[in-house]
Amino acid sequence: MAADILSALEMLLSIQNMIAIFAGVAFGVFMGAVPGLTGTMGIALVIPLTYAFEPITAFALLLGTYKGALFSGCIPAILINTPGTPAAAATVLDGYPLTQQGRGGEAMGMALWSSVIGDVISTIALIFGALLLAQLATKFGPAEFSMLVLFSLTIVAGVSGDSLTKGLIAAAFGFIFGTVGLDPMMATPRFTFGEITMLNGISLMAMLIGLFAVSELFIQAEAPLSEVKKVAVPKAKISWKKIREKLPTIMRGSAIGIVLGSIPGLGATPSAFLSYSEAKRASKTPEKFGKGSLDGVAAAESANNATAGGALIPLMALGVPGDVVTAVLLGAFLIHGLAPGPQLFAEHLDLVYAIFIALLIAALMLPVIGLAAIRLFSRIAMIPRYVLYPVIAILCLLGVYGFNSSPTDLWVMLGFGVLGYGMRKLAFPLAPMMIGFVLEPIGEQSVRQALTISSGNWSVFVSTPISILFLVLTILSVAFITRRTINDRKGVQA
Amino acid sequence: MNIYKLDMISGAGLLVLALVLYYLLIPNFVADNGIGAMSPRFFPKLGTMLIGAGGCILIAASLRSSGSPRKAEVSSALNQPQKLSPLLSAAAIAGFILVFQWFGYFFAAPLLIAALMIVFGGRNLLAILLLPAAATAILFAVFSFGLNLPLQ
Repeated sequence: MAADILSALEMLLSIQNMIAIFAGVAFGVFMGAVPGLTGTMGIALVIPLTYAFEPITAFALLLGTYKGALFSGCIPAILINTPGTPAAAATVLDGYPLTQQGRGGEAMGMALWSSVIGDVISTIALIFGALLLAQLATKFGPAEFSMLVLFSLTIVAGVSGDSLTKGLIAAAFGFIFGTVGLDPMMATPRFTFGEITMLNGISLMAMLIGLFAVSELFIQAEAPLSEVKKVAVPKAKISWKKIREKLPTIMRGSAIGIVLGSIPGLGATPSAFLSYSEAKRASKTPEKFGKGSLDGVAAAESANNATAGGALIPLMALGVPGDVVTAVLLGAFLIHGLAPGPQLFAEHLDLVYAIFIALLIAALMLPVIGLAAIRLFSRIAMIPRYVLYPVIAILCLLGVYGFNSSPTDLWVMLGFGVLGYGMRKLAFPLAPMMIGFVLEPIGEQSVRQALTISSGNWSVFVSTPISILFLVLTILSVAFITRRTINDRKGVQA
Repeated sequence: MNIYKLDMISGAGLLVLALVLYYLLIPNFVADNGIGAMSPRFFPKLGTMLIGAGGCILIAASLRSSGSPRKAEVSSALNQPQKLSPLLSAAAIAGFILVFQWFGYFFAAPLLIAALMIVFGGRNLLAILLLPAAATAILFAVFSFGLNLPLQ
């Protein structure tokens, strides 16, 4: 283990990697701070820039972007009452009232340090959690993986928004798109329509950028033309005494973020709201919540940022994404020829440790970059849309083209952009399609391998305690989702 | 148009698509070689059945809810003034791909950036001339020399 950690340090500690982490966090902070741009879009835009890099440099950049975007959604939430990311919605509740009271600097300081503490704690949880889970996962065979993928598909429910049916339809489309190309067992062509370029399947990169970045571009193109307003930005400052006072709230929020983040389908937004309501319940002055309570900001921000480590546990240890961003990160691993999961721990343990250390360094860079971003926010908010979105569009196109130098991929990207736009207009969620697409090849290969080993006997899927455990978890998860859907419907009718 | 009507239309469209996939596209474009424990058609058919079932549920749900008072609008964005802009943006991107294939990056990139600047509300002529030129040159340097990803 010590040798692996030393090898990881040797791999990571270079000027190039430090610049990559810094640039990633800075870019993530920018993406999160501009309402309309998201962390998912940021990661999708960064992936093409990492083709030429070593894997560790690529992941330093990508994970830095993830962490930066998770934090900076709070900046517009506190200053202009507009969450930069959905996860920062709970921060608005107390952050903006504090700004209205002239305490915006305090709110920003509390948000920053709560985020950093939550982030560090969750990264430590990730290191221990992923190592333990990966050891367990070495006992997994194709049947266990099949049941794990089945369980993972229940995350579709968590990211389906208002309609589970539409989420399932989107996931089924992702599933179909995932089958395009040569099938994983017999190399039989499927839906290639005689095109050689389709034998490798649909480009993950083209689909990802089309769905998340190009469709957003079309949505933003519709928004009415408006003047950019100047924003007054206070200096972020808070005393250590106040941070110490809020430590129990921050620790509780971090624990909630880690646990909820590691459960497939939940993620940052529910974690922030649950942490907020728990802080209010535990507070001696609950009446101050919603009117400008620092506890409210600390609870929401610590939980929001702590979900990063939690969500990375199933991704790193099992190769299963827990939410949309980790689904995109799984795509990034695959693009770099790496398959997260027990195999990654067995074959590239030094890289795994290097990624963990990079995450800790990114957390420590956050205060420096965060403080600068808060100071620069008035300028970031002033960037005109007619400058921002054309540059994003050309970055999408060049990124997709750069991967394979294939104009076909550009058409595929445009096609998915139009499809994603149409889906959003008809209130179909995009994330389940991405999850279905990413999980289909993993699931299909596992199922077919298991059936080949068992000579077609389907009982192989319930032949070991681990498979049965995942089957039970899937049934419980489906029962919980069904009950919640029925309750929601009753609530609407009432 | 309210969301229930659109859901009914989407459901019907999905049902038709599922039937086309199941009876036309899968038999013609996914070979069934009969080797192994599971046919290569199994997963495409599973996805198709899910789409078809989802379409039926959408139709049923929209028929049941059409009389209810909860008539949510599809999206407020539908009522916003820049209705043509997404179409123009898509056309600009399609134009970029064609010009890029025929004439190369240095013709396509500035045209796309300038077109999108106008679509997104840019009216300053100097900015529309300078920004595309500068962005084209900077991105070429970044991709070709910085990232070693040739754009020609």
